[in-house]
Amino acid sequence: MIVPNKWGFPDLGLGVGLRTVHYDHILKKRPRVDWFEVLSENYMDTDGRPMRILEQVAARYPVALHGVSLSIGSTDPLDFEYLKKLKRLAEKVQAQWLGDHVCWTGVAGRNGHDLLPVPLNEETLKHIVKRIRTVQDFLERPLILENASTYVTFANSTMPEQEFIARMSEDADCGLLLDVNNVYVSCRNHDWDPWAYLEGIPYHRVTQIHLAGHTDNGTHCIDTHNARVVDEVWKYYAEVHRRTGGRATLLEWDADIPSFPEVHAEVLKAKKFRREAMKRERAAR
Amino acid sequence: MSARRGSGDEGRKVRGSAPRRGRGSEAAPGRIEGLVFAGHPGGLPRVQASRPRAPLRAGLDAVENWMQAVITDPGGVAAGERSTEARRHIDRGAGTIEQVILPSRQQSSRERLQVYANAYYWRLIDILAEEYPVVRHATGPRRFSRLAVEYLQTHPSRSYSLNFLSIAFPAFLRSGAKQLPRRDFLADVATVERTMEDVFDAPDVKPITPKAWRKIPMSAWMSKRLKMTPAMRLLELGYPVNGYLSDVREGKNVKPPPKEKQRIIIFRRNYSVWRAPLTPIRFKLLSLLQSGSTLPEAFGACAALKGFDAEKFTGALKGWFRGWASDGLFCGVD
Repeated sequence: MIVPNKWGFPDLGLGVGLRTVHYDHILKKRPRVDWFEVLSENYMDTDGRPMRILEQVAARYPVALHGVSLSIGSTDPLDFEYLKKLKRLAEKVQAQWLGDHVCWTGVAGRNGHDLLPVPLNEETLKHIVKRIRTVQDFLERPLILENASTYVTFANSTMPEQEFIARMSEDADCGLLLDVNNVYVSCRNHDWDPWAYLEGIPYHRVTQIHLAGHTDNGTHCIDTHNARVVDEVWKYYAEVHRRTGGRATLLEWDADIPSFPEVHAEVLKAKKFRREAMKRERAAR
Repeated sequence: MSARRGSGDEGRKVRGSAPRRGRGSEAAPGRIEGLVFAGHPGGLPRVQASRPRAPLRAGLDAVENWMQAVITDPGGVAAGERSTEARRHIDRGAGTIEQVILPSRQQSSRERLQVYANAYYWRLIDILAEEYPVVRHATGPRRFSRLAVEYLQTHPSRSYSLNFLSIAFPAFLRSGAKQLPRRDFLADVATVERTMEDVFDAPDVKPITPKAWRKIPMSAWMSKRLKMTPAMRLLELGYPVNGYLSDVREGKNVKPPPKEKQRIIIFRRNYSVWRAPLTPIRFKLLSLLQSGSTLPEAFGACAALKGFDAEKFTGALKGWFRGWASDGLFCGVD
């Protein structure tokens, strides 16, 4: 059964992550892209050319903000200066929503600028839920949190990641950004069942979907965002689409970035999987 | 005058959301001298994967502090595990890593944790290299990486933004780095590179228009202060690095210049960053205006300079001001 989004956030269609190498193409050619996702931290402390370009993009396309420094899982205090800037930026570009990751980036005042995993247990859950509520109160809107790719699991974890994410989003009343490539990467790395993972997601909270490529090192996968989406990830995407009936979908490509038309063409492949998924859904009814 | 960036050439500022983990995968072992970047396989001491001796009762705060200490140790995760900082948070003796991190079917606990450890230094060294390409050229990539590691150990990032990671790098080169030949020269180069970053991101204030200039009566100039754009910096350096930076950026193989004082201006015009050398008198004049002197005060201070030539000064003033105005250096009058 198709589950609508709890907050009525729109399905923005098929979008692309805004990257510097594509600025000129986007401004000159005005490609017919449904929407853009913008990395919040890259625009919070600049009033130079990046901000002027973002203003032009935001005037023409729907924009969502996606952060990497909220560090919702850290035991350090929340950084309210950061949150103030985030809120200001969101207002400036009229962001559709604000996303970040279920992770921590540093502790003891330090920042490693990585998306680090948390032990999946009751203590962490309680801690993160409390912080999400505080952040949402401050930002006056729901946070949309993403399942990160992870490379370790902890001996003191007590529940599967999908259960952690489901309980977290229910208890904190936040939204989810389901990264289906991260589902693939984490499941490969930790010998988890991806279909069980997808089964456990509360789809009424899913607001956005991420697609990306990764690097397969044989013993483990790394979420490098430097390649096309693999077939297995497209299968997960189709399944998520079947369950949701359509959520804003975004392709991330961050290394070895090809031309804009090539990146855009990659996300447009989602149309085919969307059609097939809906056919299956109709047949099942 | 040299342009630092034209349109579409400011890639550093936009980072993707996938944290860099080496170059596509983990770093190869020993690629940075002085660091044990123990890649896989072979670089890591094999500790038998074992079941926790007793359930791990460490709280979230202990796990995070422990993990941070282990993955940021430049000696690799084995050295990190033995470090005082890591043991302050979780210490279960030899094989603590195996007590905290579970193995997968394909990788040991150590190999898995090393993915994060490798990524930490590679990612941040890459950022420093992007921000200081000319320092890197001058030191060579190996010495630069060693300097970067030393810098990161003494100045770990404490901000949500990578923009501030390298803010203390010039000062570190001048007085903090160990055994660094030509440190003052390198520090001057780094100062210029860092200042260009700051100017690139500085607040955007519209320059005063020619029409607005004309509206100001002559009599008012005696008491008014010119407001300078915040996207401008003036630097006084011990080495003439301006031309060196341009040459290196153009791919020329040049030697570092001999010591000689140089004054330069770095400013932003149409969202590109520019820099140019300044004569002592122009530097003095702009510095005084930037610090809030009125025109008569600034002219008076210039007149006190050794070798001041009043006729030459007066003759050149109009041209200087016209050039500075067209470069957008003035944004108002108080």
